[in-house]
Amino acid sequence: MSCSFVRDNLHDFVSGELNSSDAERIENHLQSCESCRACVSNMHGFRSRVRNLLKMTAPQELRDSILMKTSE
Amino acid sequence: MASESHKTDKERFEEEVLQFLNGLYGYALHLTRNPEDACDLVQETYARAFKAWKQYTLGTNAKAWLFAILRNTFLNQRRSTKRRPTEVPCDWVDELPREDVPQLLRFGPDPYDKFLNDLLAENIEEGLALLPETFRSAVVLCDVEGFSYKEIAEILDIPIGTVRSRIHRGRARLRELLEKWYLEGEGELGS
Ligand SMILES: [Zn+2]
Repeated sequence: MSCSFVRDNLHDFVSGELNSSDAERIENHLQSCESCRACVSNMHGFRSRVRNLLKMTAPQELRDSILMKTSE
Repeated sequence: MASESHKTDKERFEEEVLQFLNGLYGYALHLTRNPEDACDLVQETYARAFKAWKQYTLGTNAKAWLFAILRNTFLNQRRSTKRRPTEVPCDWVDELPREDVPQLLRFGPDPYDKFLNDLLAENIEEGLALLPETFRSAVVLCDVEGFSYKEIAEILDIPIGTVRSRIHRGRARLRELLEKWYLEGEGELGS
């Protein structure tokens, strides 16, 4: 298990798309490797910041007009 | 209270698909980059979905189904109005390092947290707008809407391996742009 395995699978790992045995291997490595830990934590941080900033609320008029159209 | 079988089509439709309105609107905004066009696109999406609703079978992934309708509607409109914006160049795609270790990492976790805190929605929108549509869609659908790679493959109608690489490269490019702007502004991100 090496740092390069973590770096190569970083995106799939934070997306939750790795199979459980690969994810477990990474989690074990993170316990002992500070630099990979920082890498993963920054990627997690980036992803959740993007998610929080880009969550939108549709305008009420849009909601109303869709409801009206489906009632026709 | 009406039992399940007594619910009208309209009631079922509202219950099952209107819950995704905010997400659809957000995705529409990233595609059109304009609130008015985004509203039109979402309206058209729901109109199409309502028409197709009778053929829709329960148990199908309603959320992915709606996002696919929205994107197809967007692509069709763009094709027919010929208002196609000049596609952004993507020569950066082959230049990205295989290992995704961002520049800022060398500053350690604290400055990175400051960078994240200083990020504004406008910065991310601006960065996303510089990605080709499939990269932008893959990143938004995965990171904002929480779709799995498999669902994204269905929505975008591309193989799952392509989804994976769009997400890797799209995210890496977005991060690279934002970090570059941040470092150029010496720790300030304007909007
Ligand atoms: Zn490591």
